[in-house]
Amino acid sequence: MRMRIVLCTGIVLCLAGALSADTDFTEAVDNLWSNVGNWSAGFPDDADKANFRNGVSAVLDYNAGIIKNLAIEGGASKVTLVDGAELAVRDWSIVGYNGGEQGNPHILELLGGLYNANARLYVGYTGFGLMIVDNDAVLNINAQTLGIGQEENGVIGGTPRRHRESLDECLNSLAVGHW
Amino acid sequence: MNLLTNASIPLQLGIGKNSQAHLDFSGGVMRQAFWDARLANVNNFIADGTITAYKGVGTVLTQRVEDVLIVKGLHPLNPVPEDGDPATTPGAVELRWVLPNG
Repeated sequence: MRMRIVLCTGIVLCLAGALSADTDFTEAVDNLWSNVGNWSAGFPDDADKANFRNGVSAVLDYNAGIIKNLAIEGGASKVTLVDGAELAVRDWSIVGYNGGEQGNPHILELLGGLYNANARLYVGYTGFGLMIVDNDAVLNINAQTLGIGQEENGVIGGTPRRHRESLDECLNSLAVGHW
Repeated sequence: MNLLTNASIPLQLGIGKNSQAHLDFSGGVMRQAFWDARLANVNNFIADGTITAYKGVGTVLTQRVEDVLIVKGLHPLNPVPEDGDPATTPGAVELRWVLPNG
């Protein structure tokens, strides 16, 4: 009986672990979010945190459904939504959780599609972040707050960007539109 | 960009110690339900240069349309250069019109 309880507990814990995990975008195959081979633990879903780190660049061009968290951290990385993209994040989204540097921030770029932040969205937490909302892209902050520059040492200096393609001087910024 | 949350102040910029923040409008708009406190919050950020338009050379506009607070940028030039034009200051672009023959 005791063995059975222990075994059942073990199975439950294993299932819990399988149901809730982080998955890293590795860019192992290409830069498409839609290619499962680019994810370390499969596509992220509503129980998973999707990590983008170490300089990866991901492009989302379809409805990826709901994920738990989106974290762009470590070495400066970039996530781009284009026409046809849809993404809902039910917990926090952070562009620049940590890492990045002056002149080379983490980037969340909405060039099209729809991004639903269903909890807080931070651009620059303890790292450097830049968010761009451009063209026909829609960003909805459905709950909690939009925060830019959140924690100590989140940024050192910084001035407005001059051109979209020139990211020098971009620090914890959010740009709506371009010219 | 739509701030649909019921949070009293949905836009928090540069709240961390030593952190800096910047929000620039160059064609897009930000919408949120109109509250006096929210308008005051936005106006404070405009006044201290945290919210700008067209990289600082334009004017940030706030409008109340019924129960919605709209924030957007006004281009410094009139007529406005094409979307994506790098010209940023008056005098940088010369516009000409030529009448047709006859």
